[in-house]
Formats: sequence, structure tokens, C-alpha cells
Amino acid sequence: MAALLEPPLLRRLEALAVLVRRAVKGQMGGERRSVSRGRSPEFADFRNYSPGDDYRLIDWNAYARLDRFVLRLFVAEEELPLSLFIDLSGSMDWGRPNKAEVAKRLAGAIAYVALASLDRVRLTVFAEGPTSGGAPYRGRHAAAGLFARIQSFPAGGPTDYARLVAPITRQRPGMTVLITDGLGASPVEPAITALRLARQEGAVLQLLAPQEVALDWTGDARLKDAETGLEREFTATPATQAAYRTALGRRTDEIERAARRHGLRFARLVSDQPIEDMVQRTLRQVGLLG
Amino acid sequence: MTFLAPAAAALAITLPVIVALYFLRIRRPTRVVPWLDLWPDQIRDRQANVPWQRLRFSWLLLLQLLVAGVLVAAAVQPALSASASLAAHTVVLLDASASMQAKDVQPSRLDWAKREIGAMIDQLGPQDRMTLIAMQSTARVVASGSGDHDAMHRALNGIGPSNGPADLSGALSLAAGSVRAGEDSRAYLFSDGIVEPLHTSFANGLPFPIEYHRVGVPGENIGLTSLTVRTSAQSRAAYLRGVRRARSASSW
Repeated sequence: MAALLEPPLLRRLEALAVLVRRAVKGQMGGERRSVSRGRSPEFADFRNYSPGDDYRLIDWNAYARLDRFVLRLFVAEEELPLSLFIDLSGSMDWGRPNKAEVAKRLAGAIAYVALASLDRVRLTVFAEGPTSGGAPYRGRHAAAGLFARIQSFPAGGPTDYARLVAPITRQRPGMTVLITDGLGASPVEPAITALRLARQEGAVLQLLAPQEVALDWTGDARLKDAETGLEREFTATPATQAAYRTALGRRTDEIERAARRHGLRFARLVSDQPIEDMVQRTLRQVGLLG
Repeated sequence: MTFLAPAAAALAITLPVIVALYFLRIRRPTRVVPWLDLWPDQIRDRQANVPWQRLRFSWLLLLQLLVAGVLVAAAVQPALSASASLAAHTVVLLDASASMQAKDVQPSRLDWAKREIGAMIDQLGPQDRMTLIAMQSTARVVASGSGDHDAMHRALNGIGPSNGPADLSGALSLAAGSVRAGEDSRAYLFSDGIVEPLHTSFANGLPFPIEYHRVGVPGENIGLTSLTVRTSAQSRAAYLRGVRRARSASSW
């Protein structure tokens, strides 16, 4: 099996970090500002001493002036919990390059950025239902295991975004990235609403294949749904192709509007775009990485 | 318009077959699409008559139908019959007697009749045969039961006028002999003088119907049959013998 991502690309990814707008609370030490107070060079606040506090934190200069004990609090530096939800439904197993493969590579790249900056990465793939990618990954050395796990998942089956709601809302506040093509009978909106309810800083990355953005065929065809297997006769004419593009644009706009309404980042990606270009340009533009 | 091989019209079945193949040819290639709902539902009403789709225009179909149609049309061997359709065996009796040299029709009675017969030769189908009998003082068969147009034309052109009368009875017996029993045959008599006898004695007992084509203006035959000049010591005498005949059994 070919490597998910090439080592030179990984080296360049190390310079990036997942950006969060709010400080979030992690479980273990890391490199990020946390909402909790702890040890770091960065001053956060004063607080009155109460018995039991670490007296090493008492600000003696303040005691000299005010004659009471005041603690100097510092911003804790902790990890960021990052969750990756990868759509591996039948509709993703389509296109040249294959959307599912590109989604795996993109997820691997984002995960590597997070792992390289000591963040915690949790992986979930979903189609009809969510499948956990195992215990959270932490640290750069966990990348190989994460990549192997991502590659081990097959693609196929229908998409049911509604069943993502439970795993999303179970998470502690943090960052969630949803990589999907947004296609399928079930609406994406419940999953996007769940992201906000779970107080996730999120990003919705819609990945489409170039062949579905710009149709590469005309004439008669029997269309077969990649997920449900339903078939229907179709004749592609300029008028019907325009209707298709309108329908695709409407679906994409729905997802983007829902994402923005819930304060999520949104990016639309095409699978023939190089991974590095997606990460370095598009994801930096939407403020997911930096 | 007649068809010489009407059985070949059965080949016309190829035309609907070609059309049927075109109906069936709209067997569409299957394309897997990520999500079917994005595609406009344009043909729900047409799904009822799968696989008999609405036939859409195609130049290739038109060309194939055209070629098949032309081939079928050629196979049935259409024949365009002019005034009358010829029998399988046509017997032509041509009067080549002296009176046929009269020029009351241009260029002469004989040439006019030969032109008519030439047109009949051109009408002969591939399966038709013709016997050509020239009536001079004796009747002779110049072409017997031939279907070769060129040979018939050559034989016809070889007939010249004679100075004698026409031997109709001999010609009719030759004609009767050239026709096999039960054969679809018909005789055409090209002459300038014979009317009556055909309806009476001659026409009886012939194995075919006979059709009389009169050449020239009807009238009496006046012929100069002999001129004798006698020379004696005292005088010269010329004896001229003229013959006038009308409605005779044989023409001059």
C-alpha cells in the first residue's frame, strides 16, 4: 500500500497548526492556550488566595502593597481535541481522483498538522453509520498508526448524516472537521447543528470530484446511484446539464449557508487539487490551519 | 408499373427490422453517479415504454432505410409497361411487300413500322422472347424466340422492302409454329392492307390473339406491275400493266 502522504509533504505540514478562535480546555498539557489556568509564561489574571492554593503563586509585591494574599494566574497550555469525521459513503467512492482516497489523504494531512503540535486527534469515518477510528492519537509518533487506520477503511454504502449527531454531541468542546461531499438523500444540516450544540469549533470541507462539477459526457445514459443502486434513464442535453448544475449548486449553497449560520468554517474542494494546495492555500484561507 | 418478382417484396421486412434495431439501440450505457437526486427527473413518463424508446432522428437510420428500400425496389424488378404489356412470347409479323414503300407516312410505311417494332423490342423484359417474321412473297423468320435486344434490332434493320406481295398465310403458319402450346403469346401484325381476313378465316385456329397495326392511310393499292416495250420496224409499242387492288387478302 502506498504511503498516505509523502514524507516531504509531512515535513512542510509540521510548520502549520490547527487554528482555533476560542481557547478550549484539553485534558493534557500541550502547546495551546487553554481556558484553564496553569503554568506558562503568559499572565492571565489575579485571584484572591484561599486556603489550599499553591503559595508559590502568591504575588508578594501585591501583598506588600495591599496586605492580602493575591495569586498570579497564568494561562495553561494544553492540547486541542481535534475530531475528524470522514465521509466514506458510496458517493465518495467516485471520481477521478477518487473522492474517498483524497478525503483520506486530506484527513491524514490535517491530522498530521494536529499531531505535530501535540494536539489530540480522534478519527471517525461514517457512511450509513459512524465507525470510530480507535482511541485518540497523540504525538507525532502516532501518525503512522493513524494513517494505517485511515487507509484500512473501505468506502461504500449510503450516507446518513443524522446518525453523526450522537458521536458529535458526545465530544468535549474542541475542534471538529467534517470532510464530506454533502451528497445523499439525508440532509447535512443535523450534523452541522450538532457541531454547534457540542460547542465545537468546526470546519465543513466539501469535497467534490471534477467530473461532477463539470460534466464530461453528453447523450443517453442509464444513471445509477452510487449509494442506493437506483437507476434512471437520462439524456444529457445542455438544458438538463444546466439543471443538474443548478441542483448541485443549490445543495452546495445549502451546506455552506448552514455552516456559516452556525459559525463554522466552510471550504469547497475539488479532488484533483493537490493535497498540499488544499492545505497550504484553501485551508489557510478559511482559517482552519495557519 | 408491374413487378416482375413480386415475391421479393417480402424483403421489405428489412425496413421495419432496421427501425426496430434503432429502437433497441437506445440501450443506454450505465453511468454511476454519486447522487441520483441531483439529476433532473426528465423521463418518468417515458420509463413506461422501456425499451421501446421514442425514436429519435438519425442520419444513419435514414441512410440505412434508403439503401434497404432501394435494394428491395431493385429486387422486385419493377417494369414500366408503356401502351400495352407484352406477352411472354411476342410474335411480330412485318409486311415487307412492295406497297410498304409508299411514303404517305414518313419516312416510309416500312420504316414507320420498323420504328414501332423497335420500340416494342425495347420494351421486352429480361424473361420475354420475341419472334420476328418478315412477310415478303414468302414469309421468313428473321429472329426466332430471342430475348437479346441487340440481336433483335439487328434482325429488324436487316429487313428491306421487296417488290412482291406479302405472304400472310405463310407468315401466320410460321408464327403458329413458333409458339409452343400453352405459352403466353401474342402476335402483332404490322401491315398496310389487311383488315378483313383477320376476322375471318386467318384468325381462326391460331394459338394466340393477333393484333393488327395498320400502317399508312387506307386506300387502294395501285401498282405498276410490268412495262414492256416492243420495237418493230414501223413502230414502237409500250405495254404498261397496272393493277389496282383494294381490301385484298394480301397486300402488295
